[in-house]
Amino acid sequence: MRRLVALGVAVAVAALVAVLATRPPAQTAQAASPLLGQPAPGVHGAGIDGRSVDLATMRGGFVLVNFFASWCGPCHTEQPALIGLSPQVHVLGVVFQDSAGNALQFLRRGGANWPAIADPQGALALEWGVRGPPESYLVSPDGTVVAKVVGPVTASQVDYLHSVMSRTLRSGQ
Amino acid sequence: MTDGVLGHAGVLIAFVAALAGAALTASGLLRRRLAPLAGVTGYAWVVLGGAALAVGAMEHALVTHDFSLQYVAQNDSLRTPLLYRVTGMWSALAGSILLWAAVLALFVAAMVWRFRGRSADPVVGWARVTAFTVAAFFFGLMLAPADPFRSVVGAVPTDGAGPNPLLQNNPLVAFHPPLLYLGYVGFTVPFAFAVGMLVTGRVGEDWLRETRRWTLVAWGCLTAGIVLGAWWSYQVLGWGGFWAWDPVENASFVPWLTATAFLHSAAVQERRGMLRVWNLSLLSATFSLTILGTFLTRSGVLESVHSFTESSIGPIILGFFGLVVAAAVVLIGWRADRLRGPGALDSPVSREGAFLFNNVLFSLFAFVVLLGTVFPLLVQAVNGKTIAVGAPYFDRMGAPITLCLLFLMAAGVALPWRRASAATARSRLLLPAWAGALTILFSALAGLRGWEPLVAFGLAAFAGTAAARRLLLSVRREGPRALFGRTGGGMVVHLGVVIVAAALAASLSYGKRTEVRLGVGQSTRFDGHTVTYLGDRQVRHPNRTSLDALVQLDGGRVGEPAISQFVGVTEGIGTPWVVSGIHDDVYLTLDVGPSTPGGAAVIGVVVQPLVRWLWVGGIVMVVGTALAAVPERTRGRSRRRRPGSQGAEVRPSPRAPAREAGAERDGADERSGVPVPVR
Amino acid sequence: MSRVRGWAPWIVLLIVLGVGLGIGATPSGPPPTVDQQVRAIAAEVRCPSCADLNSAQSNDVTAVAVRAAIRQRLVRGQSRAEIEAFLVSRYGPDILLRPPSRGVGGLVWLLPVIAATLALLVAVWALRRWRAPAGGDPSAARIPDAGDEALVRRALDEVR
Repeated sequence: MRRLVALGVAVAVAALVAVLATRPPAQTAQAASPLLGQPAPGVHGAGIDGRSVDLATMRGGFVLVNFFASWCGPCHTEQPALIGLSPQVHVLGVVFQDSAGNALQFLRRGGANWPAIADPQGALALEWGVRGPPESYLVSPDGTVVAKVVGPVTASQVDYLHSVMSRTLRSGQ
Repeated sequence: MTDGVLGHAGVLIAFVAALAGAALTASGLLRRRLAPLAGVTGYAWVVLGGAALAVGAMEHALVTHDFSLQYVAQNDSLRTPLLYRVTGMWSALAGSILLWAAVLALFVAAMVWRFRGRSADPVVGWARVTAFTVAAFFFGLMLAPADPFRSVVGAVPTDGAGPNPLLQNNPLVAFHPPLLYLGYVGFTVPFAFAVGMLVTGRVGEDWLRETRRWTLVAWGCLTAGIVLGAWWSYQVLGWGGFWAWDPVENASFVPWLTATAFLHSAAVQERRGMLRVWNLSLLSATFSLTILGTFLTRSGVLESVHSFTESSIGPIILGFFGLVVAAAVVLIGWRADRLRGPGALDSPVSREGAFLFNNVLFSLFAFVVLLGTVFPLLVQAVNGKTIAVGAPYFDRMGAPITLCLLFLMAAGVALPWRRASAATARSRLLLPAWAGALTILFSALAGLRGWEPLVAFGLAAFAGTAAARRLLLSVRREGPRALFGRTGGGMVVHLGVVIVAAALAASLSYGKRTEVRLGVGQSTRFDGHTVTYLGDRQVRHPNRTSLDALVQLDGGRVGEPAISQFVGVTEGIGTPWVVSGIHDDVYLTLDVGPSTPGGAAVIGVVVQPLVRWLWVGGIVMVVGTALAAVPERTRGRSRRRRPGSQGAEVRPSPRAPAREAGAERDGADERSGVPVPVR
Repeated sequence: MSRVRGWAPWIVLLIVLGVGLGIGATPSGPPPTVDQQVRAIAAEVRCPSCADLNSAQSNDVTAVAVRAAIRQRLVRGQSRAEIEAFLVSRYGPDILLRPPSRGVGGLVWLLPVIAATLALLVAVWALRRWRAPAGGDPSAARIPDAGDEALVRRALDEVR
């Protein structure tokens, strides 16, 4: 009887150790958002630079919806990568808990000229399931969310986005 | 620069000495050359010396702003006040390992010194081997993966980042982690002795008695550390709560549960020689869980406000955990036949039965909390989905277990050893039961609703009255000396637990929160209190700027909940204003500052009953632990227990337990060796 | 008769207990306001941007937005399940602090119950095995008399 219990304990702990040893760190970059494969939630309203913004009008090409803030360090570090992406992909910024003025300044200073929209109540962040900046969503030309990046868009994330884009185009959207 | 060299040297010296101590002692034991083992005690002092050197070097580096060390550059800054520079030693991962190793070195040295006359005893020898091995592991961690004395790569910065703002907000950072670590590390010594006696096969009760005080001190420190952590969370973090079932909090709670079970169950083994396997398993579980807790805190697999940024240290600690569990299982399994104790359970309705049931409940509670904590990882491993297991689960599962435990607290105190007749049980439990029933009735009549909190109050009164009754009977019989020692101290601890349980039930069931937008001079009324917003002001501190809201409570005191901006940190950190009273706490926060000077602000108000009593209960628990640790000068102090017997001493006891005092003496007094059958 | 007398105070106690719980268990006070309902639902929704807190406790922008969304939908007449389903459709299943009651995730509720049942069964089995053999119980209740006590006292004096 005792041997059985000992064996049981050993097996249980071994299983626990095996599981714990193979876990990725809690903050993973390529998140499984429930929005993947779903039509993108709407983004429309007055942009922070005065132009009106509407995600629906940007169909026909890939759009990267990028949630950012001027106070967010990784948002600074991902700007060059986003600028690099911007020829192939339309970038649409959404301001996360920040003033429009700060956000505009942040974009201009980084050399970014894509449209951005303010989200003072956090309603857009909630619609898209954003927990904190920076988070980016890739929307296919037909309006479906095809990828989500949590954290800054680094070089490897750029490669990942490229691969998703080509896969989407190949599968005929 | 020199600090780094000295620190490295200290760690290396300690590591080598610990390794050598373990190896030499083990080889001496295996070759049965026990005489020279007395000399190995010197190695413990070398380990302690190395630890002291490393700690001294780290503190010196922090206090003098030696930014050439990476750890100092990340956790210290020119603006940091002195206290938080000193506590910076344990604000981040590598330093926390240093603290653990230093405390461990202290305990190993104390253990070696305390048992220095018994170097020829193989149990002590193997205990030393275990202790040295654990010390070698932790110092070894600091040699490579978690090196606190690593130099900065590149240019030496002129200023550092400073510790996490939450860790320089409140002086409690000087007490909470060290106390916790004293608790965690303290269990190493009883565990080492458990290993010693398993390896040698001398599985009597001696080792339990020798190490009882060590276990008690470790448990007391862990309790104090947990309560302080809850208090700190409440006072500092601004969300009005004190326990979030966060993975790291759970990692401290689970070993506490098994340790509490062990402390109780050990009393049964000392008296009746029963439950040996339970005790060894609980003790091994406690120690293993402290290692698992270390892993969860530092590996980054679970997200937590407490977790240190992960490094490659996770798998190593996990491996050590696996090793410890494997060793414990193998040893206990190997000696299983010797562990079958002579005592047997006569009746489930007895103190032994209550303690056995106690073990089961505490183990179940520990299982539930551990399962809930790691379950998201298990699910992810099975089907890749992410789920969360949060407070609703732990509350729903923990509440019934806690209520059962409260009931057992009364039963275990009142029931005699071996067997309780219905009459005895009835007579001893009548008063506490009446206290419980009347508490429920009066609470209901006073307007309190909800069967869960009411039952909790009733059971708390039940358990508290049982403990108080026991204590008063002992004091009446022996005078104030009865407060000291295991029984007296234990009853005081029970009283503390009862206070905490009642306070928890009240604050969690009847707490209310809201937030209001108030212009300058406006008031609001909430749950019997009036809150007036008087205005705001900006204050500049050495390490932060804060926006303070002046708030008046009930037309009297004025306080300043604030939002502070630390240099280099983007988000504001809220500071609450807590007004603590006998009946309830009013917890005020500045949720949104005025957008224009003199504008309206959003003030958060949380009113929770009886919160102050949580801390009072915690203090009572710690005081009770201190009382329990005092050595007893009992009449039977010189008795020698025959192995496995119930002891040779008998106190002539009255025949008919007509009076309470007499009845209580029959076998209920833990000093009488033989439980006299009670009618 | 003495048996009943022994239990009499307990019976009264049980009545008192019943009365107390009867009064106390009946819900009192007005039905929960929208505010309270919002907080009750938000208390089981994780605050999206904080590690530990729920959306009723936190005042981060995301938590405030969650409370606002809950309020909007409550006012529109949606049920708690519908509101939670909406939040899951945006943030994923781990936004809810209560683990699911079905599927692999639901095991977390079941396993402790199984463990408790097993423990109970083992306890009953162990109890039966440990019980001193029935009949000829050496430790059967035998009240020590004066002769026994004198014997013991003598033995003690010898030992000391």
